[in-house]
Order: sequence, then C-alpha cells, then structure tokens
Amino acid sequence: MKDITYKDKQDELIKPLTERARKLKDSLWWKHTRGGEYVEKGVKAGIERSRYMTQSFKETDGEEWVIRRAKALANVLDNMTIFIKDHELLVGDHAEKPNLIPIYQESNYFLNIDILKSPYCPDEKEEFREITEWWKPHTIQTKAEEYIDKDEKALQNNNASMESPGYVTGYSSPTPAYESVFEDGLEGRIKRIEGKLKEAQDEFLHQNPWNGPEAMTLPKKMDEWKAMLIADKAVIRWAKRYARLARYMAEEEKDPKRKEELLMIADVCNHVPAKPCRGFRDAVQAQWFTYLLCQSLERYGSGMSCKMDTMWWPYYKRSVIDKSEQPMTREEAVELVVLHRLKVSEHGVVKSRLYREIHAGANDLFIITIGGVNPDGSNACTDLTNIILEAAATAMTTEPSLGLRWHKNIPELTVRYAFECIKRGLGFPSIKNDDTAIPSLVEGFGSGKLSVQDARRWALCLCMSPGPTGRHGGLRTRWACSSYTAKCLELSLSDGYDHSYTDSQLGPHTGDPTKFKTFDDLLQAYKIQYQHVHSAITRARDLSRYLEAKFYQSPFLSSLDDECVERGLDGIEWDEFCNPWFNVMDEVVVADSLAAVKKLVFEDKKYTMQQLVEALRANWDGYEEMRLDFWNAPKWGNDDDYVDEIAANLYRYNSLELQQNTNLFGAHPKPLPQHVAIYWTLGPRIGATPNGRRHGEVLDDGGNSPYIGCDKKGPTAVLNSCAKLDYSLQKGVLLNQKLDHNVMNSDKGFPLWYAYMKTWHKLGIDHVQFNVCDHEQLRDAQKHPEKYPDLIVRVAGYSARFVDLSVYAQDTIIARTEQELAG
Amino acid sequence: MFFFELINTNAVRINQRLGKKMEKEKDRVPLITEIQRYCISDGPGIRTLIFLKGCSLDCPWCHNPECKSPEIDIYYHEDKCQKCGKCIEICPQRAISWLSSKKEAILRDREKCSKCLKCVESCPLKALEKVGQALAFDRIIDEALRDRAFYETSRGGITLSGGEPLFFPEYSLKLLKKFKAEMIHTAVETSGSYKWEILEEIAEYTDLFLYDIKCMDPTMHKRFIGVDNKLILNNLRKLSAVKANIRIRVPVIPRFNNNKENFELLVDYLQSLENPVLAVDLLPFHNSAEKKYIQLGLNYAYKGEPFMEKKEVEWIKDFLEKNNITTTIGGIIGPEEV
Repeated sequence: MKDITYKDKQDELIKPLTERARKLKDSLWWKHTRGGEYVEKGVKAGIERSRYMTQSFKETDGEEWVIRRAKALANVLDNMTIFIKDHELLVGDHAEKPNLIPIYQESNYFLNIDILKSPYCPDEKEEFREITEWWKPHTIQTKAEEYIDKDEKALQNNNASMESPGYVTGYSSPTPAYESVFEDGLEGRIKRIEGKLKEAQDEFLHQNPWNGPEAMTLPKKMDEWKAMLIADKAVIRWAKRYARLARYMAEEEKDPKRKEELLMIADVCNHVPAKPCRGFRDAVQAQWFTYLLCQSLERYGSGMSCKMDTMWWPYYKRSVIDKSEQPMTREEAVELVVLHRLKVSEHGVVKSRLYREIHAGANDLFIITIGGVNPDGSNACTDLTNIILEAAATAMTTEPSLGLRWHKNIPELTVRYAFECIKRGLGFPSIKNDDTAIPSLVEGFGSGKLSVQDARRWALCLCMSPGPTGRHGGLRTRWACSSYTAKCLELSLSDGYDHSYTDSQLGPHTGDPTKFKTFDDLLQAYKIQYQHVHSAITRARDLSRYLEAKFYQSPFLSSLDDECVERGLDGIEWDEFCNPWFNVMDEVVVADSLAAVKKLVFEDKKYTMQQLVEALRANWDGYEEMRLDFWNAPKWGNDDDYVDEIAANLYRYNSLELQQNTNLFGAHPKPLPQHVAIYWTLGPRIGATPNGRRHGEVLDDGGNSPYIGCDKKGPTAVLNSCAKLDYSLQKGVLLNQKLDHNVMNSDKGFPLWYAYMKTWHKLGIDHVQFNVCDHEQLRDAQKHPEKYPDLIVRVAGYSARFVDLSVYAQDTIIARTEQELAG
Repeated sequence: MFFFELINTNAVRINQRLGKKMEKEKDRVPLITEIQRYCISDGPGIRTLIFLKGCSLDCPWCHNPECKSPEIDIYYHEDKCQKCGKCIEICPQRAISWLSSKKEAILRDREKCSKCLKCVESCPLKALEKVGQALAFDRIIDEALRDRAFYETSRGGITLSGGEPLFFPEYSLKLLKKFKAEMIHTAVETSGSYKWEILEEIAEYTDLFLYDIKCMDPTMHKRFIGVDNKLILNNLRKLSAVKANIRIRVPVIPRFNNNKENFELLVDYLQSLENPVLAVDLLPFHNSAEKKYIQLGLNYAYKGEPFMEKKEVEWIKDFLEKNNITTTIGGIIGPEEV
C-alpha cells in the first residue's frame, strides 16, 4: 500500500459527518450522568433482561449454576425485544428500546434497591420489586456477606479508604477473545467445544482402570462445556433474529436504497457471528454483537478492551484495499467506524449511585486501544489506526475513548491524526508509552509467564491497565479496586480515627501523632494504615472472585477463549496470566503533604505536630497563615528534587508494600495510580491534609498529575518530575496535562506538540493525556450550556461533554486549565 | 481601597541615574525576576527564559514593568490583604500608613521604603511579595539546563530577556558563554540601545537576536521612550554586517507605531541592511500587564486600552510579506526553523 503522507493530506485530514451519521447522532439517547443522575430525561432501566433471566432461573431450580446462567442468557436472547433504527447499518442493542438500559439484578442487592427507589425504575415497578425480592438471597453480594463481619462491611462500603468490592458493585472489565469469533465463527467454536465434551464423556465412561482424582475433575468441566454450547447456540439464534427483522423491514421498505441496506444488514447478521467474517462489515458487526454479549447481556463489564486496529485489519484489508470481500471505499470505512462510535455513545449502564457519580459525564468507560507494535516488534500502526482516529475527530463524541500506544517508530501520519483529535479538545487519544508498558507487563506477570511477543499484543483493560489480548492469553475477567491513600495519611495523623467522614475507628491504632518525634515516626504510622487498607482490598477482591466463579459465571465469554475451552474453565477461574490491578489514589496529595510536614515540622521546626494536628482537625479554620505555609511548601510537578524524592520513595514504597499481598492465583498486585472522577467525589470524604488542602476540596486528578494549581513551572517541569518515578514498579500511572488552546490550534501547534511528545517518550514516562480547551469558552459554556452541546473535556481516564458535568466538577476543570495560559 | 502612590516615580530619571552607575559597574550582578520554562514564543522551539531585572529604556506599554528597575520591588496583592496593619507596625522607615482613620486602605511611600522587606516577612497572608532575587550563577545554569531534553527534540534553548540583558553586559556574557559550552541554543532579547562594543562581544555567543524596533521616527521614539533610535538602528546595521541571526520584534502600539509610514520606513531600512533579517515578529498590544502595574503601585499609561486583536495587525503582516519579509503575529516560531 502506498503511504499517504501528512503533506498530501494536510488540509483535509478530517471531513464532516456524513448525512446518515449526522441524523443518527442527532437522535441519540445519551446515557451520561451528572451528579449521580442521568442527564437525559426518559433514560431509565428496562425490565426485559431481568424478567427473562429470572423466569428462567425459577424454572431451572436444582440444576448446576453455570447451566442455569447459560439457560437464563438463552431465554433473554430468545425473547427480548429487538429493533433496528432508521439509517442504521450497524445493528444490535442490549435493551428493548434505545432509551432503556438493562439491570444486573443478579449481582448485588444494593443496586436493585437503589433502582427500585429511583426515577430510573422500570415502568413495570411491581414486577421489578418481585424480581428484587426473588434475587435477594442469590446475589453474590448476599453470598459474600456470609463471610465478613460488621466492621469489615463498614470498611468496604463507606468508601472512605477503599472502593466497594466487586460483589457490591458488580464491576468487571473483561477482554473478550474477538479474534476467535472473527476467525472461527461461533459454529467453529461449537464444533470445538462439542469435541471436548465428547472426548470427556468418553473418558469418563470408559476409563479403565478408574482414576478418581483425575476423572472426577471431568463432571465440572462437562457442565462448563454444556453451558458454553447453550450460550453459543443462543447467540447465533439471536443474531439471526436481527437478520429476519432486517429482511422483514426490507420487504416493507419503499426507498430502494434503504431496502438494499436492510438486505445487506440481513446478510451480515445471518452470517456473523455464526460463521467466520468475510470482510470489514462482518468484522464490525461481529465485534459489536460480541461486545453486547460479553459486557452487557451476559453480565456487566466495563471498558471495551481490544486492540481494535490489529483485530480488524485483515478484514479491512480485504474490503478496502484488496476489494475482494464486501468491497468498500475508505470513506465508507470511516463512516462505519463513526457508526460504531455512535452505537457506543448510546450504550448505557444501570449503575449504582456511586458509579453514576464517579463516572460523571460518561455513559460508562469504553476505551479502545490502537497503535503500538506487532508481536515481532515492527510498527503495528496502519491506515486503519488512522481511520479510527479520524472517525473520532469526525464524530466528536466522548465515547469510546481511544488509547494510543506510542512507540519509537510511530509513523508521523498517525501522530498527526492523534493531534487532530487532541487539538479539538477531545481529550483522547490518551497516550501510553509502548516501550515502558511492554517490559513492565512481562515483568509484572512473573518470570517466564508472559513472553515479550504476547506482551506486545496488549490493550487497555479499562482506562489505564494494560493486559494481553488475543484468542488466548487475555485474562477473561478483571476487576480493579481503588484505595485512597490520603485517607491512610489522615488516619496516621489521628491514631486511626476518622474524624472527617465516618466518625469511627476506621484504621488500626498507630499512636498519638502529637508524640511523633521524627519524620520516620509519621511514615511508620502511614505504612501501617496503608497496609491495613490494602490487605482488605486484596481480601475483598479474592472473595469476590471466588464467589463469581460459583455464582456469576460467563459461559459465552469463556467459550471464546481457547484456553478456557481446552480446560473446561470459566473465564473467572482462568489463572495463568493473572492480571491483578489496584488503583492506588491520591499519592500526590500524600507526597505533597509529607514534604510539607518534613520541611515545616521536622526540619525548619516552624510548627509542632501538636499545632499541625489541631489545625487539620479544625480544617485550617483560624490557621490561615499556617495553611499558606503548608500550601507554599515544595510541591510535586515543579522539577523540585526535595519533594520529588519524597514522592518517588512514596510510589516505590506503596508498590512494594502492595506487592506483599498475594492473591488467589499467587500473583502480587502492582498499583495503578489513576483517579477516574473519584477525585471529586472523594473531596468530602477526606479531611484537611497537610498540603494545605481543606476538607471537601478535590484530590489530585491523576496518578502523578500535580495537585491542581501547584504546577507553577509548566509542562516541561511536570514531565521532568514524572521522569523521576520508577515505572517498572507501577502497572501504569495516569498523567493529565493541559495545553493552551490557541497554541495547539496555531500552525506551529503540531511541531511543538510533536517535540514535546518525543521528549515524553524519551523520558520513559508511562502515560499522558491532554485537556485542550479555552477557559473563556468553558466559562461561557457554564453560563450558556445550550450553545455548547459538543464541547468535550478530559475528566480522567475518559472524556465527557462539559455541559453534562456538575458545577463543582466544571469549576475543577476550569481551575485545571487556567494555570496554563502563560504557555 | 486603593494602594496609593505618593510620588509618581519618574522611571526615566531613575534609569538615567542607574545608567550612569552602570558605566562604573559594568559587571554588576542582576536580580532575576523569573526563570520561566516552556516558553514557545521567544525564539525557536521550547525555551527557558531568564528575566534579568533592570532596563535603561522606559517604554510606557512595557509588559514586564517589574523588570524596569534593577532594584528589588514589592508586589502588593490587594485581593489577599485583610488590612490587619502588621506591615504598618513593623516598617522601620514608617513608609507604610493607613490612608484614613477608617483603616480600609494602605498607603505606601516608595521613596521612603528602604527595601528591608520586613513588611513582606510579616504579612500573614502573603499579600506582599518580593520581586527580584539574587540567584547564584550556578543555580541559574542548573535551572536553565533542566529542560535540555526538550531543547533537543524541539531545537529550542535559552533566551535572555528582561528587562534588558545588555544592562548587565559582563554577566550576560558569562551566562551565554556557559550555555554555548553546554551546546545550548542561545537567544537574546534586546532593545539594542547600548554601546556597539558590548553588543559585538555578546554577538559571538548568541545564536539569535530578538531585536526590538519600536518605531522608525526618531522624534516619536524620543517622545515615548525618552531616547531616540539612532544608536538602535546603527547597532542593527552593524549586527547585520557581522552576520548575526536576527528577528525583528515590533510591539504594535496604538497611536504610536501602527501606521503605514512606520512600516514603509521599516521595510526600506531592513532592505538596506547588508544581510537580511530572518523575520519580523509583530507583537500586538495587550493589556495583561495592567495588573502588575497596579501591584507595583506604578501608573499605567494604557489603562483601559483594549486588547489589540490579531486581525488588527494582519495588514502589517500582509504588507511586510509583500516585501518578502517573513512575518509572524505573536512570534511563535515552532521547532523547525533556525
């Protein structure tokens, strides 16, 4: 293929939306939340998934749980209402109407009660009440609570020092093996699973002499395979329902052009996911069906973990370059990717209030990974990589977000497309350093487990965490948990008592802080508080995983993975590439706080610990002069070695201490400092901190982003500070940067940014993402939201429409951008 | 609640006095107001700007009024002041007092102030801020070299600015020599209003001059700035003759130099040079320095004057480019030139 250079296309990289896409975009039901509530009136929960799943469960009482899960899924797929919207080429939804979203009543009863009492309750309120009651004893949350006591329950659910565990939130983020759907088709999977089942049955019945320990592993496997078969067959039937609907609609259709399109949809849905994909249309539709199944219909899973450009490339090549199957032009391919984006933009999730708050401005978190290198180390960026970026800049939707793997030979044209997205203020692609992430992945899985070749196939599981992809090797189900280190510090300054939020002895006793004689005394107390929380989250995570394997299996997801099929395992039990991950938050607030205490209390002796504790307890009220001293103490992000060294030690310590824990599969989790939108919601939960922050004010907004208003020396000093961390000890570290809108949009914007990015790469920093917005415009948008429906800002690991954010959140974003004007 | 100025400082007079002093103390050490990193419009690529405090000219629109005087200044942030009166109590010169018995505003006599900074230290809310620091030479170098990785990818470097680097000839030369020894690209922002011998030596260690030409008419020049432009133009001619890389910077100021004749004369002059300049950077007037004047207690001649829009100077760019002179508005050069 001839390389298209930037110069060829300089003026026409991004074209306007096609008429079809414009119409679909205008009629979208956004599922964004603001302040914990859905923004768009009319968005609510649909009953059908819950209804058909519960109906099936009532009928299958006494059968193996995994079989019951598969049959319940089949009942949903066979009976749920399906629809195709006007102008659509890509079809499929997870609920009965575009404004509705399904409920995961089997995961936790908190959510069910929340929904029942909320304005989002399905219209069939009585029916849903009965469903809620029926599931109460069966949710994994109920089952988990059998194993923990009152104190542990409080620790987990008050969200002061840790995020609630998976059995309370139902949170998960799998990486489905899309490649096996594309290459084998579900019919191929079925054949393979039937073979395994037959083989096992033969062995079970004819083992002679009988070997109990070995043979008695087979019944469980046979159940697993049977469940996979039920699920796969149901999915084929479901896709064919779409084919029939499209054919029926085509018969009724007057417009010959639309008629032809509907027949094409029918052809595609008849073919995939049952059979291997022929061309690009098949691949896009098969991906979308598989995604709906694995991350919505079978169970809730956040993210859109896949290496999309690599995964679609063979089919794109056939259709667009070779024109041998489903031939289409490059423009048609861009439109198809735009339509895929719009599908995602309408995809929503019923979530608990906590997640509706921390995913402020978003439907959910959808992050697609592109770029990087091939398993052999060569450049993996193709024209499809560029198309995915182009479609994002064309569609101007916040979702899905893109993660671009930047490597040392990344083509300039791909960089240029990425720049086009960033300068428009999309906030993505967020950029990960391939040359930092790959060695970290290999090392993270333990020696010899994950080869470099396999590691090079990595994609983001969710916002920030890398994991392998492919037919096997991708861990099928993951779940992160967040811990709040600022609370650990607060507890170490109060003998473990939480004065600011829960008013309880939240942590262990670590001594009267006014008696601390040295900086090390304070560090020791912090370390005990830190380990207390991190042991608890590892415990909660393991308990969740143990129960999910028994009561929340995903037979369809498992059927796509070669290794799960081979071993008759559910995805959740799959242990080989164990990929634990914990979001360790607020480390910048802690580092800044430690530096201030070290300097002002233990070195300069300007204040005593007694005074500090009193001032913090009083929320700095009446201590303004003292607060300003702590606020003006050295701060992370200014290339100041004093505080940067304290920070580097803190990150190192937090990682090594977290790795003291061993999870269910023998792995030692590494931290992933990032913040989602928790840095807002956490404000009221964390009391005053010694960095000069008051109770209620936000936390730091990234993993190593300087605290808001504290990076006084500009972006180069920030990168220099960030380069002082040891990234091999972290799973990833999120860095937010703000760049001046006028400079980015000037004709020198690209070369300057490109130079900046080359330095970023050279410094070995793990990640960076950008907010490029004009603060005048943001202020205007606060006053006149109706004028700015498409104004997008980066929040955390995702982007949001500015007008969808609460005023508090908007103010934080404005504060973040204003300091950059000097640029 | 205003911060009143008792005596309107005559900057020209003071600077003339200091200028004479400078003759005697060629190697005086400047105070530094700021070492600003990630600057992208004062020379090519990503740069670090070193602001030297002190200048012999007195341009009324100056964007860095805190760099005019070579002595320490004090910013007064009125928004942070709680009118507690501590500074009044502590001042040994009795230079600070209440404006009236209502104790709502503070009055400060800059002539009486001995810059002992006791008031700055006593202010509980940091409403008073010291401007200008005596930094060790090595500390300046260390800070300026920290972004070396960015200079390499963007073909950037350091820029001496101010104030006026030539106000401190020996010191500026020492800095430039050190940067050249470290293989760093150097730029000097200057008004050119100094003896040629100084400029000639500086030129040896300067990769790029950002050379101000405010106005071609000597009378206007003298009326607004206090000196005429003869020395400035002659120096430019000589710099061109020794093949220095020069970008001309023109602050476009309303009612001063934004007229066609001025730019016609500029074109004629530039075309008469032995070697052409690289480009002209037009810097449209902006009023964002007004706050600094208020904080310093200085009068601002352009109070209330609106921000000049980019489109208001586009005609100048068109005119210069018609005469084959590369022109920018704002001076962002990007990493690719030079």
